[in-house]
Amino acid sequence: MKKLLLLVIIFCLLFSFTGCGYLTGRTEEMVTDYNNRLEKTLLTYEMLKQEAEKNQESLVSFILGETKEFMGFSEIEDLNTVTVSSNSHIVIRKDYFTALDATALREVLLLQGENLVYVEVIWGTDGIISITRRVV
Amino acid sequence: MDIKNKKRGTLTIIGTLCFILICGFIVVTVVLNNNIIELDNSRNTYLDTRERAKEWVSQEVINYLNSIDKTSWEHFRESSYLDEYARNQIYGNNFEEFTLPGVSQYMILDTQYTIGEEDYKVYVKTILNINDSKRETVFIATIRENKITNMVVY
Repeated sequence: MKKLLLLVIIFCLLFSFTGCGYLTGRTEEMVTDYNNRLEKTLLTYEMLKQEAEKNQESLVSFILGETKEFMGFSEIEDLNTVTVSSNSHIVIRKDYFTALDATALREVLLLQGENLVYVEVIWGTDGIISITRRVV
Repeated sequence: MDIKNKKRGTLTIIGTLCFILICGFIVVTVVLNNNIIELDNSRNTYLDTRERAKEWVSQEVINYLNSIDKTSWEHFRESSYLDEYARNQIYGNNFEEFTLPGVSQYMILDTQYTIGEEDYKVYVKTILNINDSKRETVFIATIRENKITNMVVY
């Protein structure tokens, strides 16, 4: 009986040691995985932001209808029916949005001209996913 | 009497085993302490604040949309996430001046944030049902030190 109890005690100790070791190992894996996801998000963000900044001028021309095509993209989704006048507009605000695990970048531009135009462009790693426009 | 003793014995054994298990875990935790601290420090916390902001900014947007009467208006206006300017900008000074959003239904579609600078913006995309018509609406909140300092609706 005593031997059996001793065996059970040793088993319990071993179980707690290995259990704790396993949990630490798993946590380490999770931390590594999280750090990798974060790094990938930041890399994608930087890459797409550079691409967006590089093409901002031609994007604005496309939004204002001065050019018919922008990087192989020819459709703008209008969120209201107000026509955008093609008079000179300047970019008064630009922001780039992302989130953890995002594989695309959301670019938000505010153009000031005869009217205020809100533009949203979603940049994917394979090119533009969507362009929406609203006259505010 | 015998059954009582047996029960007590079983309970003592189970209690002892649990105690040993807990002791084992404590011993291992103490032994691995440095490793655990190192592990905790190695986690990249760069986006933590912004990821949390996604949640509470969405909640602020929901609160705004739910301000349908004076009681809710007073309640949501007192949110600790709004600074003085944002509070007046969003809710106004008194309920009578407050323009009710009149939203019967809403759905949060996406939330994102800007990165790079200390002050950042949180983007909340919603679909609102206003007077039986659906409208895509975007809320962009500017955050400084865990407080909304400005909120713009497009």
